[in-house]
Amino acid sequence: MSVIKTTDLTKVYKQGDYEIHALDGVSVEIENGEFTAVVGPSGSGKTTLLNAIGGLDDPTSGSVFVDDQDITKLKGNKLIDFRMKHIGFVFQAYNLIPVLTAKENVGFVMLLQGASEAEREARTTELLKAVGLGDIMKKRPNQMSGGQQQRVAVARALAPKPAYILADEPTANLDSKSTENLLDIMARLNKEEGITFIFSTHDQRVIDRARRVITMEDGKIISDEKRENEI
Amino acid sequence: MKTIIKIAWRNVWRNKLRSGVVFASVVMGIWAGLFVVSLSIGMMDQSKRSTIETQVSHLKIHAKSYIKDEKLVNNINPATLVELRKLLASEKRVKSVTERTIVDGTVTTAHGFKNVKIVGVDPLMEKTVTTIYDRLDTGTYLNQIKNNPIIVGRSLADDLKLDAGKSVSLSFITADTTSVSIGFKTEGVYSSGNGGFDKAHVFVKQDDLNELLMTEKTIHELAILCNTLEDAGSVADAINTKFTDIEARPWNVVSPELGYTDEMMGTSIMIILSIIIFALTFGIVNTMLMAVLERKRELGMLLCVGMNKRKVFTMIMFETVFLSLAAAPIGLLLSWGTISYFGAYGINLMNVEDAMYQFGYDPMVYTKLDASIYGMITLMIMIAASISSIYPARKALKYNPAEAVRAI
Repeated sequence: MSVIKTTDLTKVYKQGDYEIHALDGVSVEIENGEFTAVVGPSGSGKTTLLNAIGGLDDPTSGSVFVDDQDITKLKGNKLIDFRMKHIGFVFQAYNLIPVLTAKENVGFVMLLQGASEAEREARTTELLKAVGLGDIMKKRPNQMSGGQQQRVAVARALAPKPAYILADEPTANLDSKSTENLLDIMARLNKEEGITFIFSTHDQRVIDRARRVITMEDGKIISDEKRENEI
Repeated sequence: MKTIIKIAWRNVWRNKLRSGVVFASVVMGIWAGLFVVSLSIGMMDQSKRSTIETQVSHLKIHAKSYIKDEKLVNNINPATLVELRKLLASEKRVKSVTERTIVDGTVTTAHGFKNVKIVGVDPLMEKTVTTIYDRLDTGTYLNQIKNNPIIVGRSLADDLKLDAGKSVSLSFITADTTSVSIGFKTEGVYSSGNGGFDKAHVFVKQDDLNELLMTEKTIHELAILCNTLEDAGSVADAINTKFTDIEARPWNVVSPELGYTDEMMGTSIMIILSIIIFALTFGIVNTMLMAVLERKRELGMLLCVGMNKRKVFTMIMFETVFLSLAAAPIGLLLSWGTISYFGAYGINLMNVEDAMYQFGYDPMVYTKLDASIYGMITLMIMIAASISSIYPARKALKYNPAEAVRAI
């Protein structure tokens, strides 16, 4: 059963007199528990597709169904609430809140959801330990390495127990060791907790571990390969 | 909300230099504004007090005819005067009274002449109402020279090159319309703090003047000090109710410009404080706008992960209010300290003494500020901070999360 489904998705940007078709009739279905990499050259539409799936950007036409809910019909705070409950985001530049500690950053989304202090305490501790950061919970982002910050970002994305994690170039700023470490964590979460991961990436190390690789070019899906490899 | 407030407070101190500059601006703005206001109030208050102490008193009584035409013959009717004295003696709100004989005349010396009001006073009674005796630059107050002593103002003395011990000639018209010129000896030179008044008023003994005018004791004016300034109006009303040929006028009627002082100061204070707050508002908006633009990616992330627009708005609002209000107590404390110090010891503006004197101000200024004004500026800063937060917060809400998270 597909849990994310896009139908004839288009996104057109106007640049002066020119129109740029960032997405050009993209229809794709992603099933529960997939570990998918969306790849392609810069400007191929990877990030635009992830933004549309995550409800961060309105498509020009087409629809995006997440758990049978057409999120293109949701606006304002309803859309924000939907994102908070269903989708976790991991960004290329980590985007942690600099004034909060690792633990506070992870617990922040739960706080927005109204989770109790006890719930937050238990979940944030569990997640930070799971990503191997049990010993730096009280450090702020400027006291952590890039790899550590990205692991905190993953823990933050997981904190509200979303069904889907959208990760936009999550390893772009990481060294090899940190990348492997991060991918191990994500693979484990995918396997053990059934969380669906969708990456947009250029990174061959991520592509190699994905079980499905969707290749885009000029806003279109040009190939969609499913693999049986062990992630 | 607690976390939003915590993040907002910590965000204020993320860029310590920038926040420090705004912090210092708010402190200096408050201090400068309140100090200027306290200086103005101190000057105006002193000028008002000085004018009341030396010229206007709390209230004055004249014959109605004298108010219309200040002629020698328009004195207070002797019978009325007797009744008036009785009334004033029994009036508990009246602290002290002095009676004056006033005639227009000319003071002449070898260096020139000036038209003046010659005020005949009983030195002992006068001392209970005015403080001219205490404002002598040189000489004494009508108690040393036996024959025809005169007290002149500083500016008149400067114009006519007079000093204590020097002789002058006073010319005026007597009751029988005879023009007389009589020699007087300068016993003292006073400075009331108002150059204009000092140039136009000389004081002589009432008995001397009445003798020269060839009249019985003629009284043109009664000057009265009440227990408080606020009593002046009601005492004047009581007198005016009883007498028909005289009119008692409180200080703010005798000298309307003094009456406008408080009102004028209130308006001036509001204008000064508003200008300062307005300038601070721009500084705060600018800083917060920079903070919002600088943190575009972070704000985009907050919108992505589920922080709704109301919470983002609230966070920016708190940041702005914290940034503004954190400095306010220090600014207020610094202002209070400075104003209290100069309120006790004064600021000596001797380098502009002449200008101050001509405009009726004492060069020694004591700063003064009511507690209500400290409260008012705090309230104004809070309102300004809240208003300042709207534009940056709205700017933050307009971010497209997808674009914002990828901002460089």
